[in-house]
Amino acid sequence: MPVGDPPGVRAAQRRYNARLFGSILAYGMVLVFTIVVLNADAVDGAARYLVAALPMIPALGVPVAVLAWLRESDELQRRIALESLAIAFGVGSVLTFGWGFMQLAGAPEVSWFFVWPVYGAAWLMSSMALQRRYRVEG
Amino acid sequence: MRNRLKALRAERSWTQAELAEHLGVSRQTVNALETGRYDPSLPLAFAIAHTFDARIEDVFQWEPAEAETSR
Repeated sequence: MPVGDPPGVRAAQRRYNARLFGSILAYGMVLVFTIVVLNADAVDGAARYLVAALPMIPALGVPVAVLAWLRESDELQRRIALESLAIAFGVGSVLTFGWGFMQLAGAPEVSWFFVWPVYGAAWLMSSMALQRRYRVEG
Repeated sequence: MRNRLKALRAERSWTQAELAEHLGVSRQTVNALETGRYDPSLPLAFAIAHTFDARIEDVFQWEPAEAETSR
């Protein structure tokens, strides 16, 4: 948020930053735990799946932070965010689903880890394009 | 929609940031409104009219021809 925005708008941004940072920090800490436990072969069976999925609990804080920000933010920011999310959802879905079909034709198997970066990159690019459309003029 | 935001703001010698402060929105929103790239929500339109002691139709003018093709 640029300087010159009202306190309410800046406060919503600050809360978002704090929630996002907190979630990412917690995610990082749980991730280290998961990696250490899995590498040490310390658990077996269902517990192993549980430990592997554990980082997703703090990671849930990221969509929660985004949703809270959407509700608290300025209405133009909300419009830009929702429109860019809609574009990114479409682009990401076509890319990931399209790759699935390419795999039928012999394209290399790609890890599910690539799904989120594809959606994330699509969201980043669509929001940059929309921010450009609504950039401050004059 | 057309609006008289820029003229009304000029009458009070407010900057876009000052108007944004009165309305509790970002300066980017005020700028997008003035340049006709964004139409406000009904609550924001009322807040704008209230800020200028005017009625909504004194600030915003509906353009039916444009409305047929707009989102």
